[in-house]
Amino acid sequence: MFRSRSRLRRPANLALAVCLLLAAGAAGLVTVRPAAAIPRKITRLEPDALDILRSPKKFLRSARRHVIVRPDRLDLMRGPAVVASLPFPGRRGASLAEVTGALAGTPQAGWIEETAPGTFLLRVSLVQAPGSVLEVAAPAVRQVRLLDDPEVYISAMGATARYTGVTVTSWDPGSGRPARNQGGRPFVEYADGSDLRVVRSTFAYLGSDRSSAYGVNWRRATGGATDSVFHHNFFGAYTYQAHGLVFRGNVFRDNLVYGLDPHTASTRLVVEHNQAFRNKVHGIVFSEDVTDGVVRANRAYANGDNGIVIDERSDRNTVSGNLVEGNEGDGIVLLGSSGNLVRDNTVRGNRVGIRVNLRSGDNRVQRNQVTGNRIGIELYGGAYAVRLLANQVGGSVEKGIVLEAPGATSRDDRVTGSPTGVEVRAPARLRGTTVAGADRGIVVTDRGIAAIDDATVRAATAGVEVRPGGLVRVRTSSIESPAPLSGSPPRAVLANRLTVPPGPIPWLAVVGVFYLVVAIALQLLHLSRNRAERNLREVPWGVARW
Amino acid sequence: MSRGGRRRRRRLAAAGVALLGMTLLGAAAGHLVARPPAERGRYGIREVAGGERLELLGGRMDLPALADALARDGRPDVLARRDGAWLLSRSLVIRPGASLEIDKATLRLRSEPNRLVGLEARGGRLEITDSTVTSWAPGAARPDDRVDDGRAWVLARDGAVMDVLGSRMEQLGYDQTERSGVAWRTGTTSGTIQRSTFAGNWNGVYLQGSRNLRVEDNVFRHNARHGMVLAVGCSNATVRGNQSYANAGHGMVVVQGSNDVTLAGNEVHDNQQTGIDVNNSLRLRLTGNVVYGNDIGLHVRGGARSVVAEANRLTANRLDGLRVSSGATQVTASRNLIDFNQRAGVFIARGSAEIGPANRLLDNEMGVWLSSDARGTAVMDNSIEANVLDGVHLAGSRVGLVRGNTIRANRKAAFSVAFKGSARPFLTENRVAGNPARERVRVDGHPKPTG
Repeated sequence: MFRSRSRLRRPANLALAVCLLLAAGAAGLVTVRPAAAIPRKITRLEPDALDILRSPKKFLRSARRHVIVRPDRLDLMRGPAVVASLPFPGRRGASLAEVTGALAGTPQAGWIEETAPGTFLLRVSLVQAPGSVLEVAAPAVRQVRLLDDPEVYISAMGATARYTGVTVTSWDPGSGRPARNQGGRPFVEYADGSDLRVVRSTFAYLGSDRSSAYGVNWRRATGGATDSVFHHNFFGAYTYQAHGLVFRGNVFRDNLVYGLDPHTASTRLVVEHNQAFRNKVHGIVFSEDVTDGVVRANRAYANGDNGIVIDERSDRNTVSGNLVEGNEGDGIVLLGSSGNLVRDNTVRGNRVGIRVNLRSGDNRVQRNQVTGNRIGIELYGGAYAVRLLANQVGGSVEKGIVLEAPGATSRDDRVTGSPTGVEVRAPARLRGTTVAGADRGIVVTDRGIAAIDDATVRAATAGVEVRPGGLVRVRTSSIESPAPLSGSPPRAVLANRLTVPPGPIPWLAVVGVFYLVVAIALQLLHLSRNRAERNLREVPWGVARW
Repeated sequence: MSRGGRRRRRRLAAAGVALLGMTLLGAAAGHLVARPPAERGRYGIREVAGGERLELLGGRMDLPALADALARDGRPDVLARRDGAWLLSRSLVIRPGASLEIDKATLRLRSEPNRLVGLEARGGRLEITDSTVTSWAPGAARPDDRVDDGRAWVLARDGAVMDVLGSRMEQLGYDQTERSGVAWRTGTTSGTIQRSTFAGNWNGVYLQGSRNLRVEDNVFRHNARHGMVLAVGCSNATVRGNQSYANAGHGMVVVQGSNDVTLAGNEVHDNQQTGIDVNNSLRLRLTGNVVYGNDIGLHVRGGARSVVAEANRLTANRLDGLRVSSGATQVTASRNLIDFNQRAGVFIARGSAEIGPANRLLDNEMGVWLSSDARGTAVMDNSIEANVLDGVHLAGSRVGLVRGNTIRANRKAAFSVAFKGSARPFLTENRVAGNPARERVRVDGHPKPTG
């Protein structure tokens, strides 16, 4: 029988190898890529959560059950058929408890049931018709549990709802706890002119990867959420073509993909004073034409990928005053988006602190504190005309600022304590840039073209290093380094102050000089002793008479 | 040391001093031979429409000599020295046989709406060396920066020779033929333009019809229109080592039958229009130029033919690195680095070109864009990599030949096409790797370069 010579065939050795690998991984010797985006497999609920209002005929072959709150009545439906219609003051802001009470005497009493005081279990979908107003508020309602069924949801068109002080979750009666995501969890969707306002509430364990069924959805709706928690949803909260929403003081945590995901042409959003953490992918992400919004004073940390992302033509947003730290991917990312302002943020301990790429133009990155990232600020891969101003970039593990965006400008940025201060890989202008405590101050790579004015550079190895092919002009700058200008010669230099700091004391040379001085002194002493005899000219001058 | 030794040393020292003196004298004599002192020339003041005009009719003069002569003749107002600069208050024409030297001087040309002064060499010789020539608005006591009401100018024509060496020619000219700044016009006019700065003019330098010009190591910047123009049969020129930037038009223009021109080692950047615009001219060679931050880097158009672009850097232009349009043919581009352009690295709109070998098309929005009018174009043996969208876009079904290229790591696809399957013939003829897709149909919402 063939016997393998591989030592790994032996179980003990194999186990040892696995242990070593694990240890190496734990020690950071094996590179572990940041969590990539979860592969999406989007499905669709058919008929969707609004079709019972728009086109009930779609339910001809369905037995899905709905409680529909209309301005003047409740319709209880099975498929397309109304099985009961109850008078109900749906226009004046009825409570969920009143809805449940209205059903109490009917054969459909079990559709919505108060299982404990203030705890309501929805076994069917609850739908608000246009013009209806629903109050879901403590103390009458404290918990709303949606039975874990792919066809259970809360939805609305043209309606108004207030959720105050309540917890809304999916519910698995078997385990007596919220449901795990198996592809069809209940969700909440307010759409088409609805106004959904959430205050001091929790929405958790909702949604899955079904279109518009991601968790809590504002779809062409208004309103927002304040002081609430969204956790363990597929997306914490999601908007679609929604305008003017306000998310203030919320927590988006532990969601399966994103924390807060304003999407597809949602505009003028205000997202402030929220926390987004431990989401599997991004904390806060604006994606696809989400424009003219404000992301202010939030904290995004410990997310599986990036902290705050502005993505795909999401233009003219302001990202300011946020604390973005410890994300496995990058801190603040602008992807394919233009005209945004990233200002006064604190960004630390991410892979890249602030990243701009993919066809992103005319973005401004100003006055941010960017510390302890692998790369502080990186512009590349389709970004162009990005303007950096007065950013403080410190303690980057590899590079402070990387400029690979044509037409980028860096003005009055300060980089401290990184192996490379600024790396210029494409045409860029630097004015008033300060680099201190770097090995190499400003590096212009083979494809870099840099105009450097009024820079102050202190670097241990090279001040301005130009790689072959790079092109640089250095004017009115102060550069202190053992090699102030190294590599290829600059195209132009003008009025710079180049300083080579004194090196360590050359002891060998000092000893040599000392030896020489002593020798000369001894010789002079000898000459002075023999002065009297010199005039005799008995021997040639300078030869000692011993 | 013995007395004899001392004597020998003294003799050697004396011989050394004598040799040094002779060398200096020889050098001085050589200088004098090369540049004899200005002599008194003939001049006249002629009445012309709108006032008087000073004309140099013969001899060789410099500004002090001319000013002295005018003062002796009772016309010190024509050329006066104030604040260390000469102010010329009448147009000055240098006729054949006459010569004017402006050497290490500042000459201001009076420039007021009703009195614009021109410095014109019409058949004569004008040498401007290590000097500054500007327009001058006496009321404002500064150069005239308004072009809408006319401005002083410098012109050479009719066989004149005008050399501009180591000088600054600033704030000159306006939107009128022959008064566009500093201009050389007509076929037999010639001159040398070296180490000089042309800034704030209408056109920095306008060269029309002159042959065998050498334009070297100059700076053309902040001009209201183009940096440097070679126009109307300005053939056999050599344009080398210049910088042209921040002009409101093109950086450099070669137009209207300016054939057999070489542009080498120039740096052309941050102009509002094209970096180097080649229009309707033949047999041009562009090599070693660095062109960036313009609308288009190099634009070959309007029936231009046999244009060779080799080893240039065309980078970070707002539209395309190299664009061939409006019927330009036989354009050859090889060994260029074409990167970071915000639309296409190479865009063949209408015309034909041979793109390759050994161009590197990197990090552009599109590597190569072949429009449906690009038939006859071959894209061969290039590296087309890491472009933001696609490596090659085929806007028609049969638009050219794409062969032997490395098309790698482009962020959307190796080929984008207007018609599905258009790229199929080329997929096996190129080294295609690392692109998310080999072919994609370009969808709405992506910007499309226009004609």
